[in-house]
Amino acid sequence: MYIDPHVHMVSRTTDDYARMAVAGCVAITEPAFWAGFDRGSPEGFHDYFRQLTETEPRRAAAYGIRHHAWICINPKEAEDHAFARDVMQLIPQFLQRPNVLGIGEIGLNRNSRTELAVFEEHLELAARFDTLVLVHTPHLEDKRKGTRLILDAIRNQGKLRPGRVLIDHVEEHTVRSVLDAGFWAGMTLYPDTKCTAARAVDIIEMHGADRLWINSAGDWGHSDPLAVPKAAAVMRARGHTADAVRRITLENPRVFLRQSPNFSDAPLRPTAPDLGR
Amino acid sequence: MQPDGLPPLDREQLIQLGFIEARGRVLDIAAFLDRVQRAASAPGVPADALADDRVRALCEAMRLALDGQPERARRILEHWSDATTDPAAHADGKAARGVPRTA
Ligand SMILES: [Zn+2]
Repeated sequence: MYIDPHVHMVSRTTDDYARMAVAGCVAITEPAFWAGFDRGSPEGFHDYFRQLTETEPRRAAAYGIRHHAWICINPKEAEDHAFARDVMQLIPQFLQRPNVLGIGEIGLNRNSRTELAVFEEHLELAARFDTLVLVHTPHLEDKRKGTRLILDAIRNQGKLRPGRVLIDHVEEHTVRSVLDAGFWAGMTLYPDTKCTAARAVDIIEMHGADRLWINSAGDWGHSDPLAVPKAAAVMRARGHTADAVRRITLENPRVFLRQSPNFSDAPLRPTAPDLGR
Repeated sequence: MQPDGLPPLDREQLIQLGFIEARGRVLDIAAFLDRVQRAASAPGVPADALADDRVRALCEAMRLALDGQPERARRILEHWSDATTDPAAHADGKAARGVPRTA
């Protein structure tokens, strides 16, 4: 049994749901993100948020997987401040939906002033509605600087408890600062960028498993929706106990996500007719 | 779980587990540098393959990997990080390039 706490199923096929179910996935959480193109209107986001809160929970349930969502405008589409504000107006109505856990994945992409301002406005929304927060940290050479700007912004705002915020896509050079500040940290398992399974296991060995989880961040790009169970296999090959694997892949996500009353990983009877293929 | 960094497997077991894969990756890097050096330079670009700041940053990282000190992966990522601290005036496109422009 495992939870994949960050995966973009709107970009994945039904076969991926079937494979994840067979691999033992019981629950997933899906942050709102960039779809590979810029949406042309706030209505485009409204439809996307409906997909995250209506369509995907149904697709997942067919395979016995509990689906949850995070709502926001992602930093890649946040460079137009007025547009971002129009989209942010839509967020409160979706926070009331039964599978929504909070605000995410907000954060920074190229570390611009507008991205930062939009990030701070999302933090205000999270404080006002008392939700959990899932934060995306930038890619490659931008990650260290962006992570610092993000941690400073959350600290300066001062309204969110670090234990209710997960900072995602940490690597060797950012994990310590995130954990030391009391936040949760996510490691994303990607083939080329972010973390490989072997490096994620190194980080667990060096920093311990407290407030740490792994995810596939499977999406429309080069990624693998089975990255979590594959990393579990790597962890076992590296001599870690079944308990240690279970903690990273199931117990830790559960502890963080259960802070939202909308999270559940209770058994769900699959109804998909093609499960036995 | 050993937060002191001590892996559950001993050194010999870890070498058994990872050597062939690491061997293949070293060859891939060497072949990448060979390929870049063999190629004609693009118009207006210096003929020296190592003049490209991305290729140079790769070679600098390999020096870090060979210095015998711990936490090579963290130090390489630090080396490849944008060292500025102020937010940028505007987003410079959507995609990062892998190493800072000044590297
Ligand atoms: Zn994502």
